[in-house]
Amino acid sequence: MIEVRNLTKEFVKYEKEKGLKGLVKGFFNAKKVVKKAVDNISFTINEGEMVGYIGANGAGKSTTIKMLTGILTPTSGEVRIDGIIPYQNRVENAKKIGVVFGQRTQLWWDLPLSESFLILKEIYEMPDAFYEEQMSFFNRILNLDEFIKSPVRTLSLGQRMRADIAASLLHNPKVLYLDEPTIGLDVNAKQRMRDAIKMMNQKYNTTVILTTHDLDDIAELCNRILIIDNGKVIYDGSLHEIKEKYGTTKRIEFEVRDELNDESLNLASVFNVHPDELEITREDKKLSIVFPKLKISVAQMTEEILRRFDVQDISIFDADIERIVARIYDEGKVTL
Amino acid sequence: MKRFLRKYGAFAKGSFEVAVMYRVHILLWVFGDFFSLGLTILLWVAIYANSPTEMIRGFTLIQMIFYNLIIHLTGSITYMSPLSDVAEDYYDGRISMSLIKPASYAIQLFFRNLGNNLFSNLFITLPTFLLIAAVSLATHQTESLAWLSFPVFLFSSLLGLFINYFANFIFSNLVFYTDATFGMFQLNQAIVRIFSGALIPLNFFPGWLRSLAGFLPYAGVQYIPAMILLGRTTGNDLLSAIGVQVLWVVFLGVAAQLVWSHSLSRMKVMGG
Repeated sequence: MIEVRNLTKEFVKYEKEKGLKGLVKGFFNAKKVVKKAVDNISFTINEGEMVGYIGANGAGKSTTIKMLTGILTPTSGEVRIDGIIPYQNRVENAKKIGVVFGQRTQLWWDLPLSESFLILKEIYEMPDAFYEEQMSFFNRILNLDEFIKSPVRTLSLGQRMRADIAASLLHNPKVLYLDEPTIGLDVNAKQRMRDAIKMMNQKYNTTVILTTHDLDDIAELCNRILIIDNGKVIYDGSLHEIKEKYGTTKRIEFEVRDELNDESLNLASVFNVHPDELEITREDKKLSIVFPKLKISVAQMTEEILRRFDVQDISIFDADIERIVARIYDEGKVTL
Repeated sequence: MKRFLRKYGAFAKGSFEVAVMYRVHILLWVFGDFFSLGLTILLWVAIYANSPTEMIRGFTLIQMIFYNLIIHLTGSITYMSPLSDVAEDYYDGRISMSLIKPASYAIQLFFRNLGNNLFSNLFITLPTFLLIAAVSLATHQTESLAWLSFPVFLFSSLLGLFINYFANFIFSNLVFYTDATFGMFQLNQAIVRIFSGALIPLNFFPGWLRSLAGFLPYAGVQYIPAMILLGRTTGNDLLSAIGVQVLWVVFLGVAAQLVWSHSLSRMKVMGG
């Protein structure tokens, strides 16, 4: 469905020196700097897959998405979406895709929401029956009727996002691109968005590409993630696998009866590990410890803390996906 | 064809609805427009009052007043302003939202402007036309206008609309290659205003400027249709004037397509 082969995008930047002198100098002779925003990436996504595409800011995510949607022309390499080359056949490709760019709306700002949908109906050349069917479906799962007569500029963020997701799926596209779709939304709104996306995928086998910093979105929706860093794809596999193999830490939260004083725990020397390998956080009656599970067992750590404190409650967690990803962003690589 | 019109007509509908949405917006636009027309006419009255001759460059005061009224008419008939749209779309990054739709951006833009053009025709052209008719009757100057040429005038104005649109659209592509828009707008507006005859009739220009105006397309936007309706361009001159307009439409249309393709392939879409 989506084939990406050796995709590269270079941007030319003109670097000017600092200050007024540099500005004038730069006017005549600026230094040309070539930046590789996307560096020789390749992957294949099959129909119906829900893929998370994550990376630090500036890693090349948006640039990739812009090439996939046909907005940007690659410097080299190949992209095919359902057989079509998007930047060569932008209009053809656009018929089959839906896009939600979280920060921006595709709706008509000043007009009532209903007008936007009617305009989109004509743009996507939808027959009346199909349009009615889709509108009632989205009205049901996203409760659009509440605000469908209001101008888009008067909508709350949550309402606008719901409207945008309906707009992106109105014509039943084969591929849905989501860029930060739940940004700024409250817990309930986030859940509704995720449900709508899941429903479309189940009902129509819509392929979904999700770019987000919200790893809960990824956890709930995606069975596969691609991590991009500095223009290169450094991981392509399942979420499960990354947790399994890369999640080498465990976290235990202890709730103790007495307020913790400032005494040093000295756990590093107790367990014979480097202090950097432990992450200890203390807050009121809660003590949280992150430790390497291959060097210290859960039993050992628990035993030690029970011995020293009057423990009221214990919670044990696997490595946070956040932590794993943060480390990947920091290190720029995944060693499995 | 019908599908094409339904699809792109939707964009025109959108921009027209936005234009008429705010009553104050309508009032201010119309008021400001006619206010400046009034001022211009008063200016000419003052000029003629101080002129030793009744005729200046072939125009009596009445004829000059009609010229300005008709220029006002052609101005609103050919009103197309893609420059601000393109600049806004691009710098905001919202051009990406237009590019993900299954419609050519260039054609989307044309129809968006058509929506505003419709607004201009409803709220400015119509009243101006009535004003011209009223002034004609009131001053018993019904021969000042070549009413029989009206259909030709309309056709010529239609060509003028396309010339105006393509020329402005080509200019707006600069937005993709440079960061400085403010000066650009003023520059383009000034050039169009002067060379379309909106400021003063082109035959007022000194020789070298008149020649320059002949090499630019802008005369075809307003001056040519205005001269036709004033009955000052007739017969063979009229045919060649229309011919010149047609050539400009074709030439600029092709140039617009080429320039746009180039811009699109090199485009760096903001945001992300």
